[in-house]
Amino acid sequence: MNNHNYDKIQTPRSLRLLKWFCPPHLYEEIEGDLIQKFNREARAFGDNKAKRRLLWNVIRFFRPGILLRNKFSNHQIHSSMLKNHFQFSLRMLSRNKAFAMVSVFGLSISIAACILVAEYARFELSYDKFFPKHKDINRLQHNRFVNGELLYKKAMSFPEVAMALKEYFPEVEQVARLFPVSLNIEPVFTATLKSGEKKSFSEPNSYSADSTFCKIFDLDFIYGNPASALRGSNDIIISRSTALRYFGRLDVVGEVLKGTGGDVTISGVFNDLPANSHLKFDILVSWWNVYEDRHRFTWDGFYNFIQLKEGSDVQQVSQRLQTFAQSYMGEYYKGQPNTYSQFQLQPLEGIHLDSHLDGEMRANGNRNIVNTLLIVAAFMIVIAIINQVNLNTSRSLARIKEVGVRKTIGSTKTQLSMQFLMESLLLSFTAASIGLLLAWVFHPWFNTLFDLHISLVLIDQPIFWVVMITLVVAVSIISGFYPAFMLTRFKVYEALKGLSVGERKSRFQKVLVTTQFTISLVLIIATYTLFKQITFMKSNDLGFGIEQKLVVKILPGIGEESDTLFNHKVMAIKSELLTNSLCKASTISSSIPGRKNEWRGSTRLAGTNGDVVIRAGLERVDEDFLDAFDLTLVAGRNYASSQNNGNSIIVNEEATKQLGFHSPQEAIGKKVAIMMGDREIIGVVKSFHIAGLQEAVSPSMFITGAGYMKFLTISLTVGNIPDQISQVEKIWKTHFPDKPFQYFFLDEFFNRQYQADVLMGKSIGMFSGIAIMIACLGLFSLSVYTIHKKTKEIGIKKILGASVAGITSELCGNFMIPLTLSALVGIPVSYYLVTWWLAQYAYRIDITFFLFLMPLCLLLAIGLTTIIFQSVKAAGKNPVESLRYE
Amino acid sequence: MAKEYLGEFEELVLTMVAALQEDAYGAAISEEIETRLKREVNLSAVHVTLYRLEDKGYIKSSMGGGTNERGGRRKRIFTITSAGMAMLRALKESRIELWKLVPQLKMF
Repeated sequence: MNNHNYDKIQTPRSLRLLKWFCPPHLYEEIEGDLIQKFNREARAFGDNKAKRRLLWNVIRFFRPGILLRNKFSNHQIHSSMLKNHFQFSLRMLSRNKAFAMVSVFGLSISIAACILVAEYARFELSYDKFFPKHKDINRLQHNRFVNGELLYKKAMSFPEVAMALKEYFPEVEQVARLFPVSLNIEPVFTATLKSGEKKSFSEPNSYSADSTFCKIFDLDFIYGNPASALRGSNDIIISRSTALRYFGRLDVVGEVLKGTGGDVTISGVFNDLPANSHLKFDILVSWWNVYEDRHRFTWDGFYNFIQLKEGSDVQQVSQRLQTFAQSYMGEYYKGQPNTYSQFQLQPLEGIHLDSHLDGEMRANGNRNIVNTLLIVAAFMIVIAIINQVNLNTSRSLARIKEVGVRKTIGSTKTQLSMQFLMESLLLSFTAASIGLLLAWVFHPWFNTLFDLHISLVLIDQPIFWVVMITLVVAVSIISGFYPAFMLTRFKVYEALKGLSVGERKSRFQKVLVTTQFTISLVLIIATYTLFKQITFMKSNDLGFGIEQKLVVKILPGIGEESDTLFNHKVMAIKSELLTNSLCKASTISSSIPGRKNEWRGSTRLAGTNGDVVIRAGLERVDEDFLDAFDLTLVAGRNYASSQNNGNSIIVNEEATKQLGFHSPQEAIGKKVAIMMGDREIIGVVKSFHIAGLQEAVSPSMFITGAGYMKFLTISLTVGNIPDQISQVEKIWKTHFPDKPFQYFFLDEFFNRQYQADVLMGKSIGMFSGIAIMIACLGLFSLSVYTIHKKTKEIGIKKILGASVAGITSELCGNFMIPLTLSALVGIPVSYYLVTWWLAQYAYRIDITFFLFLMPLCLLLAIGLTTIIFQSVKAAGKNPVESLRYE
Repeated sequence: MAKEYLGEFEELVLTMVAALQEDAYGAAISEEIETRLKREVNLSAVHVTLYRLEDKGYIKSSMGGGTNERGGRRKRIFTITSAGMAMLRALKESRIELWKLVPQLKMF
């Protein structure tokens, strides 16, 4: 009976299933127990039910307690081995403290630098993406063509084009306009506090806005209703910080500010926009008709924002935009057959990095800088990894005997690999933690140094940790690769003999060190060139005097800009200043060098039919302008107060060239047609740099006529500057007791144009510093290792009569090879890079031999210092000691 | 040494190993529990518990002979170690100590 049952279950699937998953050493007993149970159940319930229950019982053995039983015992050994590896790694590292510190230091610094750069890049790329509707918002760009050639591309366009767009395109959801109020007049607002105290500030960041603006950009209102905030005719909404500036509190809705053009009522307070927006405004006033009807097609001075309906096809709208432009502008351009306008939609999120048009709201970022920094950061990581590989490899060579001993004792290859990998994992993990800490500690300092607003927000994101962990694991595998997988392959007797694996390895190491130095050299050359270029731009002869020029903002109110009484007051200040000893010369003008000129119009020679149209800046000046800015006349004469200047104009040399004159003298007496009619050229000034040296000198024209003046420039005599400023202020206050006295120095103002370059120079400089440091660490470890290996050789050489100097120079010469190689690779690469970078400057330094020689010498000097101490020490040793070594 | 604790089922199995002596193996233990305690037990649970007790050092094992009933497969015979015996005794005594604290209600 029993036998019968046993036969029946000889081959049931259920037991084969058991055999499949059950560990072999448990199989027999479990199977026996299962058969026993089956037999018992077969007697009790019958064969079929017993079979079903058998299957169920087998399945129930599919559990970790059974499955992992034999693995479990292994696992226990494993975890205790891990503990042992860990302990041993700690011991190894504490025995080689210098090594551990060097390698952790290098890696952690570059990780910190990379985190900061990544944060910077994230910040730059996040511009305007916080607006909820940012995907649908576009800005209208205006391109004007004359004779088929592009005259300019502008961020601003016409005052009513947005409305027409909304009519024309069903895809448009809503539109809003912004008009920079400070274009003509920098507005001044005055608040009267309850205590009777008056506070007034000039507000350069004031804009007049449509009421739809709040809706499109979802301004975050603290007080007031966004839907109705700018509906009224004299409404104003102010930012949180502005409210605090005037009133010291936030619930200021209903308060009245006395503005330049009348009283305005505050209807809302909004939270300041974050720093990562291309929009920057403190005050928005309700829309008023600044333009007259004739400006509808002539004045492109308005920012037009178009919000498309969700999911509409931008591409399609853009295509039809040209047809729209023709139908909208066609009527106007009828009289000018050679001129036409094009419109373009700029996606909001691309404005900061990609736009770079005329009339941007604030200085744009530069995608090149972001990309360059990201590349440099990647280089840093590469250098640091190379360093890690180098250090780890050279140090592990000394441990080949350890491998032999461990193998003899019975260590497996896997265990040895684990040991080495554990060590490098420990190092890179420590480095990553310290790097994170460094980034956290230094980011405020980084912010002040580079004038940034970054905060460590990346660490909140899971992807950051994924990348970090991947990096740590990758670095430890790469840097532990040689010891963990190559060293452990040696046979026991080979390892114990201490085979000369060193030779081959050190060649590999030399390649790595060469790579490091190549990168460092490229970075040093880049830094050096950048600073040379910046110094060149700052010190180059600009064609006008930039030192000791005090500029006072005139700040006329609405209506005052062409008001005779007001202008007389300004002139009275000027003449009072001229009698004072502090003032060499003084001038009143509508613009100053270094300020982007909004007034650029097409100009042609009078009487011609528009064959040559140039785009020239137009400024209003007085007869002292040339004097005050130390400009030189190359032909003709200056304005004179004794003559009527209404039909005269002074132009710069560049304008005469572009108008087609062969010499400045030729242009004298010719007439040009400008906005105000035809004017006769009475003088030509030598071209000077109105904008920074990134830009080529552009044609400029200067007319006289009081009004629309914005700056009073005073050329100061040498003296006590604070004292001079207070004297000027006193004079200002006697004439304008209510107007704020705002001033700046021209050189400071002008050099602000190079801010982006200075920032770039600083950051690349910082990176190259770190790169050199890390590369030197690599060189240092290489030299320590090589000299260590050559101890005996040095001893023998000395016995045979070699001098200390001879040995030292031989050792150093050895290390010159990687340095020389890096120069051979690095210089062509950096030549290419430097040429590419300098191409963006209209005025640039010449690329000379010295540009590369200096950094190379610097690098060689640093490299030599790193190795010379080691070499001298080794060469100076008593040969007895050297020979006794081992 | 940190005090080891036994789960309820572990204690039960350990007691059975001690009681069955020469005849303590997986199937027998599960059968005994089923017949004596009228409690349905899962064979795999008994096995896992036995291995765990062995890991803890309360029982040891050796391979015994096979029987016809098992299709000739050998049994793994478990025997209790002195540590296991001490553990059982300690458990029993602590139970009795605790039981003494329970107020004994008289049935009227």
